[in-house]
Amino acid sequence: MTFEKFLFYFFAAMVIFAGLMLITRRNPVYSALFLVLAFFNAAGLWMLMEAEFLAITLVLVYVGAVMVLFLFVVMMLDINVAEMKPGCFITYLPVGILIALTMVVEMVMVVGPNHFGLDIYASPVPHAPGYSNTGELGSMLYTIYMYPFEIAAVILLVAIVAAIGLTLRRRPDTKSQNPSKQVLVKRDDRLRVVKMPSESKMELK
Amino acid sequence: MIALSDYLILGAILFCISVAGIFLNRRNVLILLMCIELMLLAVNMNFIAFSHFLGNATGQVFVFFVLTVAAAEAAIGLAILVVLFRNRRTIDVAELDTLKG
Amino acid sequence: MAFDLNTLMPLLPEIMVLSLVCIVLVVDLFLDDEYRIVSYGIAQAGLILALLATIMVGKGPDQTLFDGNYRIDTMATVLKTSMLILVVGAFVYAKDYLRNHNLFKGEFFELGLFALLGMMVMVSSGGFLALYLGLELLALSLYALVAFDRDSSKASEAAMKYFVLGALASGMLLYGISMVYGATGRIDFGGVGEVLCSGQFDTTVLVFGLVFIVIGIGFKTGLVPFHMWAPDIYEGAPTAVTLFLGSIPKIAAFAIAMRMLVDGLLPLHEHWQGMLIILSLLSMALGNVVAIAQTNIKRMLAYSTISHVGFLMLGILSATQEGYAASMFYAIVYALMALGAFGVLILLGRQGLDIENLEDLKGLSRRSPWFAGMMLLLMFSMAGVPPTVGFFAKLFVLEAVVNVDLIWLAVFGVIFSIIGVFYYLRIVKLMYFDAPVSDEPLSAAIDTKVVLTLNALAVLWFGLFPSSLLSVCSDAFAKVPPAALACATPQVVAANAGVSLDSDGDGVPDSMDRCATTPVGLRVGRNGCVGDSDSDGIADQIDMCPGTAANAVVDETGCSPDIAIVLEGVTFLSGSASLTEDSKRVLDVVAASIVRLDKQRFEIAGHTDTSGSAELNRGLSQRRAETVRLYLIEKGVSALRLVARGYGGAHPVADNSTPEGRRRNRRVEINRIR
Repeated sequence: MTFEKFLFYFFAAMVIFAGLMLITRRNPVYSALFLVLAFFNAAGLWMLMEAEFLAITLVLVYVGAVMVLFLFVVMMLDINVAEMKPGCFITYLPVGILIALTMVVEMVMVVGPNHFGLDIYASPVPHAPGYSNTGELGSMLYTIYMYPFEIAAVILLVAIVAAIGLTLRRRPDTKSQNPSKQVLVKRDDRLRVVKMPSESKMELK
Repeated sequence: MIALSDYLILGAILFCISVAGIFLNRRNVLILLMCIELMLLAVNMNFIAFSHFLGNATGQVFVFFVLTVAAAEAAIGLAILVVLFRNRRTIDVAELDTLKG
Repeated sequence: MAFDLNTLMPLLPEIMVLSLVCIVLVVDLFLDDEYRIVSYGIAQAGLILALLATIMVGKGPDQTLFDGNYRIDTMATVLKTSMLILVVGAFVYAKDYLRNHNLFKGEFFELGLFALLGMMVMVSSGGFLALYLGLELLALSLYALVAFDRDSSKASEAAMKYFVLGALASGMLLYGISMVYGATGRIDFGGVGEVLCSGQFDTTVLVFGLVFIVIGIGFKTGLVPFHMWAPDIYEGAPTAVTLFLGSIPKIAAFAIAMRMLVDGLLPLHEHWQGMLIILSLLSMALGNVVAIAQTNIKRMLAYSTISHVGFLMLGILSATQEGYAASMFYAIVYALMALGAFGVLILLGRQGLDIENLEDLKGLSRRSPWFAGMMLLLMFSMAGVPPTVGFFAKLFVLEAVVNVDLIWLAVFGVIFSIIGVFYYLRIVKLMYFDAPVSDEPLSAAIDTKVVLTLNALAVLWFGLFPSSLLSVCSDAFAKVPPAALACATPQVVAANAGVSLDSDGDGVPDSMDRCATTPVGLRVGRNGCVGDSDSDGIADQIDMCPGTAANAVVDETGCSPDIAIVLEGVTFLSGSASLTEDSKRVLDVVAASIVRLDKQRFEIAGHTDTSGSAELNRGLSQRRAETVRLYLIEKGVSALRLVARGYGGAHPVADNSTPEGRRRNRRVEINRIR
């Protein structure tokens, strides 16, 4: 077994393990962490396939931003895990496993070695040392795929509008600071100098 | 040598795990959302494997866009989840049954 | 490609809608609640301008722009025009509802416009990527719109369900698209079509991908058995949102099926036709039958939508020009009818309360004869009663199906639509023959009344003069080839035509050719590469020494240039000179290799061990070398380039006293003659 092959089997096994753990955990924090594990190992596989830019993006954007968002929501919602019912997971499990296995077998029949083996798709020659994956993707994104690129920008805008529109609420009773007012405040607004007549001398004993 | 079929089989297994997760999960909407992310990972695996073995970067460009959309989708999904939690105080899938048809 | 005015002009409607959203977004921030109507006004004015731009731009020629990502043709123009008009109507209806329910916020119009933009991107997409992004733009906006009423627990539950099933559908669709990409190496419809017509693809893989694509379309358009989200969403969402998502996206549903299945995968027509027949048959049956049992009017309309989408697909699956035109007619007309029907529901809803049950329609004719009349027209049209347009919509699709000899399907369609008549007429009965629950007169803003009237009268007008709309639809498909001739006529030439060049002549187009410089004449895999198990740069098919050590220096034969090439694996039946089958396989590679080395001459040297007489051995080795030479000549090597000689046991390479050594000495070598 070559080192490359070892890496492939290691990463693939880890991804599948993480996926299985993800769907069977009761606590969403564990699930989120297993999803992070799956993303890390998938990034390793993408490295093996010479997709360096996407592998790094997966770690930076997915693990760094999206999964943190997930964890953030888990914490914010303060879900009581212990209170959650055991649920019907166990009752449906045998049927579920059966259906999933059937699906895997059927899909493998199509995507397996009969149609995509090494004799049909020989392993490609590795890129030359000076090859830049980021450069190639960039030059395609900003020329051929410029139109989709613009639409992707609009999709992100929708996400912003929708997320803010759905979750932002202004409570009438919240207390907040207004920095510009704080800065612009004058002495006279806060301090009142009161003239008082001086008191008469106390008599010394 | 790792064949294209190896990567595609991995993609198919991940896809089935995530579909099974979506249909079996009756407890927690958050885990449903994570299954969707896993499903997109399976699809991305396919695209990158094809891109590698066909020698054109189009597949990687597609993955780039899928990642972008998935990030937007996660943001909106979580926003809806927060709204749901505020109204219901629960995110149990089995309790999402006021609309029955 | 260069970006100048000519390439950007066809995008004018999209650019205008996007700018409009941004303007509304910014202006709305600075408005107080009592001036919110300004956002609405800007949105409506902008839509009208975009409508004019669409009509103006649509007069130009059909083009594929942005390297095959964007396509403008008559279909796109007609669909965009109708969507813009319907969105104007939807906003007018929604305005009253939002005000009455204290939901009058700019976000509704912004998200509605984003959804419209997504649909416009979809209808003029030239590839799977643009289509997917348009679809997601639409879907994400709709998820947020359904949850728009933040305090409604029902609405947020509906939004969650919609989101999960919508995302699942996207995943299915993407998996299918990845298979199409893998089998063709292209993601633009033109390119996929080219590869499909060239016949260089794996049918099993493509059909496998097609199944996922059709499931994705089924989910997104709400076809049975992927419809389960629709009734819940229709019921749970605020009526103004149901109005929006129940009407206009049906036009986009038509477009997504047309672009993917007809523009991209038409040569696979016989495969997707079967799948669509099952889906549309089930949709027509289940939609119409289950709708009868509903008491909630929004759920009833949801099931009615399911059956109508089933009908709509009939035209597409017939895959003829008239079928496409009929489906397009159906989609536009259905969106018009659904908009009107939901408009009436909004009108009936009282302050802060939605109309929920069929009972609420009781005695409408006494409360407002005019609106009851409008609703009557809309219901007749949905049921397909003759003078209205719904009748012609059904007639045209059924005609298209009959013309491709699927008469049994048409018969089922007729039966199910007759079942469907029942529940539409029940509404008419409730309106005209039952006593009203309350005598409260209906009040509505004047613009709502006008739009509703126009909407219902349009249903009647197109019913009386169906050809006015049908001719527009037919024009859109005048150039689309019928399915049987999908590859006979040249495809619409993409801007990047020529990508399918095959520079190394191995029969694999460059777009799929991972190894673009394979030597001429070799059998290559689907990705244009050849196997090279010892990584010496010489493909296995012409490598005389397939097992050279890593990093060894080799020449064109794949062997080290300094030593004699021992043909490993060439063996003979004991004591004879006949080749075994395994030997022939090795010699085939040798022949292929020698043929490629143009002038080089070779000596074929036969060797034996030293057991037995030297004379016999020399004779045997000569005969064996001769056999190999003849075999190579038979495989196309010029006879002049080969010399056969038998050396007997004179040149041992190993000790003749051991069996292993003797085995190594019985060999055939090939030497270069310099």
